[in-house]
Amino acid sequence: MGAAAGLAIAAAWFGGSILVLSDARRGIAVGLFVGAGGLALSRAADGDSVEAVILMAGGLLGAVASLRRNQRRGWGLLAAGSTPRIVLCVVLGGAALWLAAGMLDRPGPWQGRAVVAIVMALAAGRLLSASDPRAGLAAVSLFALGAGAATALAASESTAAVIGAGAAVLLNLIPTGPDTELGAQRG
Amino acid sequence: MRSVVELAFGLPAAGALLVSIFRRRRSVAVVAGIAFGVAGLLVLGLLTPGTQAGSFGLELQIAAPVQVVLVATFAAAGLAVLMVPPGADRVPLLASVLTGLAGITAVATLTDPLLAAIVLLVLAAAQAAVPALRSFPDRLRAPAFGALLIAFGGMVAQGAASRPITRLAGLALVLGVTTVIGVAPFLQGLDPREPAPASPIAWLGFLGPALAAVLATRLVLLVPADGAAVYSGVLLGLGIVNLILGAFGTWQAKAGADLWRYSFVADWGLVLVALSMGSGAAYLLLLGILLLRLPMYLLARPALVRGEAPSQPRPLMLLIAAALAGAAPFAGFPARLLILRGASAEAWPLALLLVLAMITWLPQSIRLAQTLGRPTRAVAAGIGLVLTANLVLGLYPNAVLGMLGR
Repeated sequence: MGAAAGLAIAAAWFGGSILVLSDARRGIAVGLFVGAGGLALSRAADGDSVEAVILMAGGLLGAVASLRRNQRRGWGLLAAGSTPRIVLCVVLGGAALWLAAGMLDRPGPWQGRAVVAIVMALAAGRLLSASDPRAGLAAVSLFALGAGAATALAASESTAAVIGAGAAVLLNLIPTGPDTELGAQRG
Repeated sequence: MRSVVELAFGLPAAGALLVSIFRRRRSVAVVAGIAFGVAGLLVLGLLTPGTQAGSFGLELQIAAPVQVVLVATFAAAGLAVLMVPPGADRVPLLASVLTGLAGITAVATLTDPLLAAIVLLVLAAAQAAVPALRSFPDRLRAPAFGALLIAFGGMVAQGAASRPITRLAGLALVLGVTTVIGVAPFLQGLDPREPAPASPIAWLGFLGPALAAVLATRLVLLVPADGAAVYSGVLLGLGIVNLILGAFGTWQAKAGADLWRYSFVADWGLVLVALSMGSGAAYLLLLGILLLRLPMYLLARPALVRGEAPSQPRPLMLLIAAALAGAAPFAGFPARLLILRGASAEAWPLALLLVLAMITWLPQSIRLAQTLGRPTRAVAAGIGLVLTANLVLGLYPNAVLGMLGR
């Protein structure tokens, strides 16, 4: 359990960081998928494989939907001027770990709390710094997966994980083309 | 009775889906949307307040004040659909209001703040996808940030290991709710050319009141005793800031959308002050936002879009101004009396500030009423309907306060 929980924390931070550091569809989709993988691994390490599968499926479908809807090709990782975002990943990851392990004592074991806190913190950081709608939606969907997993930590049923996963898929299906901006239509 | 609570948000959600599917067959879409919306309202009205077990392990709950405010939200949605300006398309509006009703009813009934935050995020993203003048990220950022704060506050409130950090919970929950609603310090610009469902008015005037009721009845219960003082202090502080900003803003603003925006802000200032004191006036004021200020703004919007000059004061305008200012015998009057009574018991300087703010709004309400332009017969009928509803609320406030359990 120890190694799996550690791996889950690492995957959560790595996936969330890719999402923060990427500006194109492959990077965003992979960040979402790896972050969801961290959440799923954490639930599997706690012995709840059903929730792990639900969260993984939500992350995978959300990532595929994000990949298909996003028009920006490539990885878009570490574009020029990414230093503040790298600092953001380190600071948010550390702060979330400190919050989950040092300041909270519920729900679930500290490793599980750390995984959801890291995912939610990095997703929030990405959302607030995003100027690209698809990146913003991917960040919101990773946050929804994290919130679903956090609720599932305290619940006996998997409904919260289903809601989080469903929201992650739904959010990535929302259209964000130029037709959502009347100003763009009017030229 | 197992799935009744879910029907309160499931029926409007199904209605929104049907309206979207049948959007090209307009009459089918309108009939289906209205039927499912009314069915949702009936289910909501028949619910017994209190904890009710939901399906699949979800705990759903509806408090009496939330139920009353939600019923008013459904009524406001009905008025918005009924009073669509000539030439506007009713079908997309119907889909938007049903989505909003489904989302906010789900938020109001889900007991877990994290799940409520997920629904808020979906709602914010769905609203941001409605065609509008502002960019998608601009529209998503504020309500999504608010939802993130609510989730953070909920997590801290439920799991804090030490006493000092529990104070953060109260702060995060209040800031989260006010950010979603869009009052100061998270104000957003209001352009009347932007369709109402896509504009900040959707949160400020339509979804915000139910969210404020959820804050006051359920989220506050999550805040531990140590955080309660922070919770009321932040609410009072934000209330006063919005009160002053609303008063100054209406004085400074030209007779247009900005005047309306600041009038909403001023109303929210009163609501937040009333909520900080735990006064029932807050709910009467929320009903006033839903059943008076929002419909009046929607009626004034066509004139604002056309950039019409303010019309000359007429008897109908003065009636509207009286209602908007909270004068007797309209619904705002008993609310203002209650809040003044509460404030004078708490601290007289607060009561003095409230009186000054209320007085400054009197001339501004006349300016607001003038923005409605020269009402057509349909607009005059809408105004009559709204004023009658407010007159009834103003004459019989105890009926509403009784339903609130106060």
